[in-house]
Amino acid sequence: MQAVAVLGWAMSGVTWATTLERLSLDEMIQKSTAIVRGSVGSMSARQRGSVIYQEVQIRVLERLKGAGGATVDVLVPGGTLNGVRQTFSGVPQLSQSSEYVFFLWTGPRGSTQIIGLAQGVFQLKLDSKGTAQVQRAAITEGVGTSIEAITMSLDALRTRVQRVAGAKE
Amino acid sequence: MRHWGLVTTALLALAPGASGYYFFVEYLSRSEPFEPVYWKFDLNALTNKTVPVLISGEGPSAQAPGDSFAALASQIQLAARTWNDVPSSALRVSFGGFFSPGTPHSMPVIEVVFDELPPGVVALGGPTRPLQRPDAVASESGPFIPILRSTVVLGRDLSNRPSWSEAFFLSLVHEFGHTLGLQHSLTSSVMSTEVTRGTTKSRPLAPDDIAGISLLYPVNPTPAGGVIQGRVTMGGVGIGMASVVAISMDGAAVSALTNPDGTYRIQGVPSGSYYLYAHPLPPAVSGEAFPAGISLPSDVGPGLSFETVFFPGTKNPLAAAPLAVAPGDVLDGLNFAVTRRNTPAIFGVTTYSFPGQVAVKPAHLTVEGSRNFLLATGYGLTASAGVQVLGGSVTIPQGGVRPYSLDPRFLQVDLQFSLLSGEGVRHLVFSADNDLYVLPSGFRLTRRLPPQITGLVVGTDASGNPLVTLSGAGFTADSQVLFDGVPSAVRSVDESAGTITVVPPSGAAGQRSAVVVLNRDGQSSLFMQSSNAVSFYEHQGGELGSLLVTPSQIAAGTEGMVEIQTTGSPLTSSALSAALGSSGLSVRRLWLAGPNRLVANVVASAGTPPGATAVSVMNGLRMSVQPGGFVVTPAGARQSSFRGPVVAANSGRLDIPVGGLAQATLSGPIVEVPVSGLTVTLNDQVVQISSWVGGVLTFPVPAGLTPGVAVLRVTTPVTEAPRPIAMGIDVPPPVVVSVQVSGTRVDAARPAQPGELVSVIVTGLGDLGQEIASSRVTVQVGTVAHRAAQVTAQPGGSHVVQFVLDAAVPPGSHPLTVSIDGRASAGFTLPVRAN
Repeated sequence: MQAVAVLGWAMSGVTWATTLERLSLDEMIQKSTAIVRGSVGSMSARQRGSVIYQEVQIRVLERLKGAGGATVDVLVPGGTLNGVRQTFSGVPQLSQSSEYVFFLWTGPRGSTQIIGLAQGVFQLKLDSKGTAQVQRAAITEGVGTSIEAITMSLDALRTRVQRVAGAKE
Repeated sequence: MRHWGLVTTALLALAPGASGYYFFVEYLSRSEPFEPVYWKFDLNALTNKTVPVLISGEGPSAQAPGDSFAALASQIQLAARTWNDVPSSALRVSFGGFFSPGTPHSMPVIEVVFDELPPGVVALGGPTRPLQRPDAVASESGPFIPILRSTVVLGRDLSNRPSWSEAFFLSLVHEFGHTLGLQHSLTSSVMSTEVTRGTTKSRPLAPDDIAGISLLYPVNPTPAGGVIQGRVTMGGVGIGMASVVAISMDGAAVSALTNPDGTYRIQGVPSGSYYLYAHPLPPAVSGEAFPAGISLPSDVGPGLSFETVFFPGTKNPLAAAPLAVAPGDVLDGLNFAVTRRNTPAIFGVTTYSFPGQVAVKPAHLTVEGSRNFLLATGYGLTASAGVQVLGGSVTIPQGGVRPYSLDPRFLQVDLQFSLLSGEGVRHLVFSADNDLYVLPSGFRLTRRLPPQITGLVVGTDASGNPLVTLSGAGFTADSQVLFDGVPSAVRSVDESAGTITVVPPSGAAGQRSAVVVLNRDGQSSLFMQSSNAVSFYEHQGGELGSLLVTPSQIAAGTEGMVEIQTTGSPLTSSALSAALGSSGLSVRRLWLAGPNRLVANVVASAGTPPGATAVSVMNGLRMSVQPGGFVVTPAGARQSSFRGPVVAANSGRLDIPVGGLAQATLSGPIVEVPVSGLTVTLNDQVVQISSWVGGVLTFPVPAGLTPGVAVLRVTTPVTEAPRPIAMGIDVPPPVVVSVQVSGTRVDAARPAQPGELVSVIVTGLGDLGQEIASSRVTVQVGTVAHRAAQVTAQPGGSHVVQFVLDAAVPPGSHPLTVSIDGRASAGFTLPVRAN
């Protein structure tokens, strides 16, 4: 039994280094330096070394985690600058007409990026009752998960952020 | 790196050019016919069709315990060589050195840089191209849009990502694939996302990857193999971005995505029997911006979802019609009429197995193992799903599909197989809610358990050189041992005792290398040891020291020789490279000319920006980098230069023996100088000029030169001389002394006869008493080539080469030549009579 138990532990502990590393919602909450609800403002391109970044200004409507001002500038890899387009697969496509919840990470250099590329962007929509819902693409919790997009109310997300971030602190 | 012919094996399974993959695509028109145009490197814009990989000298800020920048650089080079070593691809990929970010590049390049990456992102890779889509460039293989440069971004903090791990290496290979122009595929290849990727460090490329790169950069304009084509429609209307897969029971799976009008074309399908199925792209999942993470062509949507179906319109794989494909066949009209479905019932399935205590992905099951099950997880995968193995020899017993008792998030699938089941990949088919999901290469069946290292002992050989003996299990004659990313030479293997002895690559005292064993069946010692428990070897050598380059500059648009002196511990000949840190500079050839002396021929392309670059030398795991150690000066208005390597005039070989005729090509004002105005020296010895026409200089290699490297100079008082160039001096060619049959000399009175065993006495084939493998030797009689049946060393230094005279050799007198490793003797007249 001991050997089998070790197998189980080994399985649940498996992470794999890859282009993207799947993060659970709780992991994203813990690893974010800020979680904000906001809309996309201006976008401009800048280059850092060999990488072109889109600098996206997010107009902050609400802060679920972390402190800061009315806007936050976020770097998204890839973009166009000086007549060239640099492409990276998996980069989130943001619309200036939409509202999102962003899971953000500010690194030692002081620049802020979105956790896990498109993983850290939840679209905000109103349901038929006018309740704000955050929506993310289907993720797996393993055997038994429905494939429909998982949604949760904004209130439920706020509660979860407080619980997870508060528990860590 | 030795590949055990894994690429060759893949080619046996799948001829080059099949469309299995997906590219960065543009459509030049918005209406039929939809002809795709691909983004790729322009081979004509590259020196020797080679795109250099430059690594940022800044390096990561943090690495895993035991890891190092040299180790990481070696893994990056190994990953790049994986794509370089595809023989059916005309593109070469080589290490170009280290650079400072912001260094301008004049030529296409792949940069590997380190930047802050947020949690959840391991690496990024992709091409850079002109914003305004230029006119497509015409080529023999069709129009394309040139990639300007490509970038791989790794995190600065790699403390949780050891460079030696399977997953990190495969991420590198995957990202390099993007930089070369490949997008994600759906056939469990290295270009699949990590969810379904079915390749390993030991076998990093699947047939689909090889097909993709070979179609993008074909050696031959016309792909070999057959073609499968047709159309996917829904309600009579063609649908784009649908995947059509040809899958064979021997493991190959190749696919194509449909054009906007629903048409698809799978090219270069090798001979064999295939099942064909159409499936939609999976929905974009958490972390993906588009379905399967594929960047869509402009103006093309992601395509509609539909029920997966096998040709000709069945959901029962057992009722699918196999298609026989032969080279040159065009199987047309293989159409699918699919049924709309909001979203697939099951997708994104990953499988795991447990040969030891480490979860291995994808599942590898061993005939001699005791754990005959795999675990699967995926979107929509429940215990009620149907599961079957595509192809025979492996079955799932009744009740063999259930939740894994220790973690119900995973599905356990029991499998029954035996020694007779054979080896190789097997495909899985999952079914639920009236829908199918096919996982190509869902698991691999192997005969043996993975290699396992339980001990490492350091010793020395008779000459005092270090040796490393690994003990454990599962080592075979084909096992390869890596020290970080550097392969080692195997001295001996004792399978029964479980030991393998290798010569470790050089490394400096204080350096540690992760030791990993790779087996030909796709398994590695990392299957048995987690990345945190890998075996390490402590190097004991000396540092390379600093570098001094002479001359330390070159004019753009010229090529010639440099010497690189190292000041530290002597260099060794294995795993030795030098680079100059700029896309415009390439090392055409490198010689080890002394314990601390390298000679290199360097090419500076015409557009190389003036300025300083970093010189680097890597020898095993030792590394020395001299920032600013080399300078490119502006191109002169009228400058003379050698062009290309010095070669043997008759054969084109790069090494020319004493007495052989060498040929060098020059350009610039010196071409106008008459032969009387030229002085040509080889190692300061004046040589006779055989001919000097149109910039092509031909001269005999004079006596007195030893095999190795020599310096060729052409001077004239009339104009500025070109930079000297290095050339290779070969050992003298073999000499045919006599030919015999059954001990009797063959001559006009006693000709040879087809079918007879002919013995050729040869000198200069090898050293006194040296054993020579017959595979290295060929005998040419007239136009007919013969393999040597046996090569035997004789007292006195000669060798006897025996071969059977082929029936294709007609009666008459024919020149007979003996070649070893491409070095051919002069012709010896062989009289032949009819049978």
